[in-house]
Amino acid sequence: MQLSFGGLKAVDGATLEVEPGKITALIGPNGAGKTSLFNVVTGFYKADGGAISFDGGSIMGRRPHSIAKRGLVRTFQLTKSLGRMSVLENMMVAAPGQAGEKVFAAWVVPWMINRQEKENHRKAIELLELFNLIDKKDDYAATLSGGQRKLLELARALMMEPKMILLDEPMAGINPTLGARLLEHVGELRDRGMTFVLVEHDMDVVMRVSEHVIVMANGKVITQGSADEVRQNQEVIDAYLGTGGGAVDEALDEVFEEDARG
Amino acid sequence: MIAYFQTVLITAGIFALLAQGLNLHRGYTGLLNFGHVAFFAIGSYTMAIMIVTFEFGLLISFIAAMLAATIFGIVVALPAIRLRTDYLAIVTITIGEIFRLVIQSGPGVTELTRGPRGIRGYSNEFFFLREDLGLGFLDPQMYLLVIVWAAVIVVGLLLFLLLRSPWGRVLKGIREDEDAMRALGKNVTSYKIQSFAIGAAIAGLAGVLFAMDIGSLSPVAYLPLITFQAWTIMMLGGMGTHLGPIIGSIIFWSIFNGTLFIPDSIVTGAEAAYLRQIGVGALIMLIIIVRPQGILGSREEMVLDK
Repeated sequence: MQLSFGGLKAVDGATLEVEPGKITALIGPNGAGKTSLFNVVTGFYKADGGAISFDGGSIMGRRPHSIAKRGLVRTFQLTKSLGRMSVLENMMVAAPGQAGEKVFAAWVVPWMINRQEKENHRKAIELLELFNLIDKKDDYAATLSGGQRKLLELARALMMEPKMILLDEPMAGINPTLGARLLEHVGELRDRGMTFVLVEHDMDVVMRVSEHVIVMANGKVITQGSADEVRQNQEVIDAYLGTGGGAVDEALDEVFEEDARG
Repeated sequence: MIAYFQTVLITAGIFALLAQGLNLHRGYTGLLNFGHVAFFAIGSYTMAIMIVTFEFGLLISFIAAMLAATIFGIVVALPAIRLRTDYLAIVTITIGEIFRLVIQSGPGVTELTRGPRGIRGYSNEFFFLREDLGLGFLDPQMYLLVIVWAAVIVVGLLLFLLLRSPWGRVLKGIREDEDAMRALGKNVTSYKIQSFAIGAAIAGLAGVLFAMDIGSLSPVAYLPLITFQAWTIMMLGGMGTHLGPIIGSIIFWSIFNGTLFIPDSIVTGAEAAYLRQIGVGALIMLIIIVRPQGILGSREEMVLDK
């Protein structure tokens, strides 16, 4: 896959595959092209070249909403809550296949909308309970803390009943308790067959939850494998430290931590 | 005194409709439309041309006027919708002015619009119709008032139903964050066009009724001032509220026409005309300072950022 902004090649021939039903982590130094890759895969940026297929069909060049409808849903690095809507509305709006989203449907088939709304309401409440956001359901989303917004974004994504979720730095700016809860949910959902890809800088998190790690640098995939394999890989160390990094593990951890802070 | 209330309520009703359309654009969808007067004008002119030049019936001309505004709304939306916030505002304000200049002096167009000379004689059938509607006991002004407010109520109810449905919820979501809505599988472009089209149609209807009220059309009746009056009304009543445009419009026009009560010995009629404009400016400033969320708006929503 390829993407450039003017002369800058943000994604430069990165090729990767994600296994269904697993948690894959996408790591790499800042500017490696991870978020750009997410944006291309989800249709927010147009790739200059390459191919993307998802669930047996090409999604190359499709628009963001149509990709999301197919079951490939993303979250954002900077959370995008719908601030002046209630937490419950945030959830309800995400439900797929709503008849009432067609203009004039409210004039023509109100009973159909009512029925769907009831069902979606039940689902939303269930998810909000699961994510401990139920007490906040009538509050404006803008009043939530950063961590709660991350939870809301994941819960909202689940309203869409996706097959695969791309999480862009789910742990950034979230307190450890909420973070741990978020990861728990991700783990449980994976056990129920959902696929996750996460961009993450916190190496503890990456090592703990992901079954597969893909490392990017300068718009390319430089290596992939299990967390431990990647940790030992010379190329990864070079990418993070420049060539000739000394005491490998120690230095790596230091850089990762710095990255997480930055 | 009765005449004052009639005048105020007719104009207020017409502008309530106009502001309803704008409220759909700005208050619910977050689209900064500063060219609203163009939809208003296209409603007036389409109806007048259909009746006077092509001699169609009243009903068909009414429908054609709203349809023309809808289509124009879509045509404007297509290029404009890719722009966000201030950029959209600049493009729409330009479109509004271009449109007015075209009906005033566009080659070929003036054969239909009669340029600055304007169109008259289109409103007879509308006023004759009151006998058939069983409203013969009303004088023409009262009859117009009844029709205008019937339209305000019907449009208000229909909009209320739409906006509290999931469709309206999607619009609000787009107002809050359109990228988030894309990520949630909503075709944002399509919704923006729908919002633009429906808001334009309502403005077109307002334009038709406005034309009936003023009795003769000319381009000077469609200055950008109209757009800003609609904005003031929307802000005064409360953006993104169901009744805001209606309440805002009544208050706005009561104040605007209130200069009538100033005796001639203090302010002459000509001076009062300027006084009104100053009053509008002062009103806008007052809203922003004292109650930026408008009369019905929520303070909490106002202070929350996205």
